[in-house]
Amino acid sequence: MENVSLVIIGGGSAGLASAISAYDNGVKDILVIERSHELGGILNQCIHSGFGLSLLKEELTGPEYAHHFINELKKRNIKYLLDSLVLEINKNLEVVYSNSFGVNKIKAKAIICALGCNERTFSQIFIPGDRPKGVYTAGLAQKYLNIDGYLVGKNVYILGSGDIGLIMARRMTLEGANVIGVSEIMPYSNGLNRNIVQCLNDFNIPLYLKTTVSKIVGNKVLEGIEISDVDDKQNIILNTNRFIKCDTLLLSVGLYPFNTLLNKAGCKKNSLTNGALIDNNFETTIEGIFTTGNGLHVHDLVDFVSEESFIVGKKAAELILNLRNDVISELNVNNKDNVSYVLPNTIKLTNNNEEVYFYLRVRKKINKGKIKILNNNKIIYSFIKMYLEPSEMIKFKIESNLLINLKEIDVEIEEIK
Amino acid sequence: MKELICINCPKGCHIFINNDEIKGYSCLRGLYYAKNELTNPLRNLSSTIKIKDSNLMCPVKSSKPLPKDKINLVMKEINKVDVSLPIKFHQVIIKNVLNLEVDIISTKEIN
Ligand SMILES: Cc1cc2nc3c(=O)[nH]c(=O)nc-3n(C[C@H](O)[C@H](O)[C@H](O)COP(=O)(O)OP(=O)(O)OC[C@H]3O[C@@H](n4cnc5c(N)ncnc54)[C@H](O)[C@@H]3O)c2cc1C
Ligand code: SF4
Repeated sequence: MENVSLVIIGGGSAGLASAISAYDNGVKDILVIERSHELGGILNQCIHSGFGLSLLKEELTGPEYAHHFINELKKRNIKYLLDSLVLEINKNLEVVYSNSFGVNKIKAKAIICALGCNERTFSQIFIPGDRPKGVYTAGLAQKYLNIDGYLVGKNVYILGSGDIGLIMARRMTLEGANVIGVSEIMPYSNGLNRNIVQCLNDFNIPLYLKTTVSKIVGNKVLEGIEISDVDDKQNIILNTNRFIKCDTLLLSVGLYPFNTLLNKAGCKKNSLTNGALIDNNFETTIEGIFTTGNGLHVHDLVDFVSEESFIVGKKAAELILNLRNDVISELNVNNKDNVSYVLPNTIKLTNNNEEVYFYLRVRKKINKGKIKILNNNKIIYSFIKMYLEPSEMIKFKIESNLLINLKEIDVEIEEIK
Repeated sequence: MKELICINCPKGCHIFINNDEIKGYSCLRGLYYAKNELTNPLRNLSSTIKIKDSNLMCPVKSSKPLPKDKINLVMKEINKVDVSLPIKFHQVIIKNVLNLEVDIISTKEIN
């Protein structure tokens, strides 16, 4: 069996950044395995600009952002395989993959899973009616249009006002489709304001807040939909339904980490994110298996994926090069009031005094919030932040000496009126 | 008073315009955007161009922002052409489209 120091599964922005960082931190024997015919992952289909502003200080399209990182990978001569699907990983750090040469197994000292995310589909949201042709997730319609040059429909309705749906509203309009409107069940859009302006307002596409698709009409092909108003608890209000004729319904109702490989290997799952449980090294419950990017938790911006993956590449390098110090204390992290999830789930402290990074999301919109870390109801760290939204990840880091010798901490957000 | 949302970065500042007074932007790009928005609104354009003898598309963009009211006409030009392999990164595919002094360039290297 072939041996490789570090195997990275997935050649999207997370895989690329973690490979580059592991290399720069001293691990030269790296293999990136990607199932598609090219590196870059989801960036290849995101042809709009909006990437890179925070990290590269330049507004790039998805393919341009990928180009930058692919170049950096090639400059370092890091090895990668394309058209190769990883079938299995296990706790012995063996990786089984298949490609046109057959099925192959390699042994690693560490594995980074950078697998990306899936879109929520029809079966995961409850809409009555048949499942006719003409209903697509927004990301799939994006792939068909931007990679394959195929426009899925002419009269389009969009459910969900997340950024992918908004970007597709503009893109399909530019290609000659009639986008009738966008329904959002919440009283506010989940997309960025800039996308409401340049994707909907610029083209006079209406956004209907507090509405949802209540029925799918048509049995073999989509003939139309019904939309209804919802109340403050997102329940449909009876007799508000109206029919809208359309041949295409795009679903832009959320993403979740793609996690089968890690689950099968036995890494404990985080039921709040659908990714794996991790410690502050981004290591799963199996030593030597790391996870990052949208396969860990869904990020708002690719820049944040790259930043996170730079850290993960370094952490994997520390394990491989035996640079890790002994753990002197270990604690659990719990999410409490107004926090829908927080990462990491456990923290292992050593005496090298490294900072600990936290990533969390607020459960609901809060105008002014106090983000607190508590131990036995005593605040050990806090700060105030304005305009908290579920669609915006909160990131911060703290000195590790604040945490030493604790067994448990709670992370909560207090709403300040 | 007119209210705009700046589209130049994810922050999305609310900008208020009252006669000659412009407020609410956090950086100069916002001020520039607000001034243009009143006189000659500009937008970046991204699209794809068919690759000759291939089933795939080449992603492209405008080299600079275009006048908003010309976007549809530029889309028509983009959909008229195709491009042969190999394609270099930032290769000019349509030069000076519709005499707007903006090029349509590839955003990907494809061999
Ligand atoms: C549709 C969409 C639109 C977006 N728009 C924006 C935007 O406008 N601005 C912005 O900043 N961010 C945007 N994002 C977010 C950003 O692009 C992503 O967060 C980021 O690119 C994700 O990177 P990743 O590497 O985690 O995942 P991906 O790019 O999905 O990469 C995962 C890779 O793993 C590979 N893979 C998976 N399983 C296996 C396996 N078993 N074997 C081998 N390979 C495997 C996949 O083929 C893929 O290449 C968007 C995201 C999506 C989904
Ligand atoms: S004004 Fe500056 S900071 Fe504010 S949205 Fe525009 S570009 Fe971003």
